Amino acid sequence: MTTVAFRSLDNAEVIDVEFVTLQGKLRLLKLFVDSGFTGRSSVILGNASVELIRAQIPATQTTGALQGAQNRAWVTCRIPQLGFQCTLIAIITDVSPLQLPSGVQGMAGLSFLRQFARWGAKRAENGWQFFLSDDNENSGEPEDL
Amino acid sequence: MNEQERNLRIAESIYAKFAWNGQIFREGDYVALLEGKIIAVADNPDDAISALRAIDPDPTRGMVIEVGHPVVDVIR
Repeated sequence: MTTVAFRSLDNAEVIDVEFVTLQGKLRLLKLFVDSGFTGRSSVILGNASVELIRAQIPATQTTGALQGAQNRAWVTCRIPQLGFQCTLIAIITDVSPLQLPSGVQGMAGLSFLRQFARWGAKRAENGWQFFLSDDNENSGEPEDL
Repeated sequence: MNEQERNLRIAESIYAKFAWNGQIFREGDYVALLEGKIIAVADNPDDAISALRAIDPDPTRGMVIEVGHPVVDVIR
């Protein structure tokens, strides 16, 4: 049972997720956490992420900060500290309308968060952290990254 | 009709009727399509993608759909 924590930005909760290219290389991306991003898609990635696409999936309609038909693809991501690896649906688009914080390459939504038993934010000695856990019980301190 | 359009025609039928050409699908099935044909049905996306990529390694060709009712994604 493991919990992993990510240092929050001043104005956002973020997580670091490894994505696997078709050639098996890893690409680490920092994703903005937004449980208000709902639907079947789990993450939103920029157009520079085409190397992560494993297969196409038909476009979907979105509403809110991104509007209209959005290209989607299957991507594989992992968080090694949790032993987590999953193939999920990503919207691949121009992320500039999302006004992501500097250094953040995409967004993780509710479908992504619900891959885990627990998730949330907590204030630690050195500031706020966002944590993901594969444990339903609060049995220990998060592992700092 | 190009390759993607032929795949989309099948995908739209499966989304709407959970069926194509007499073949019935269940919600949660993952269906790999290539060149307007169904080439694999699996219970997880990895197996469907592996079947697709084994036949055609080009990630821009073919598609894998998740059988289910369409959902609008909301980004608040």
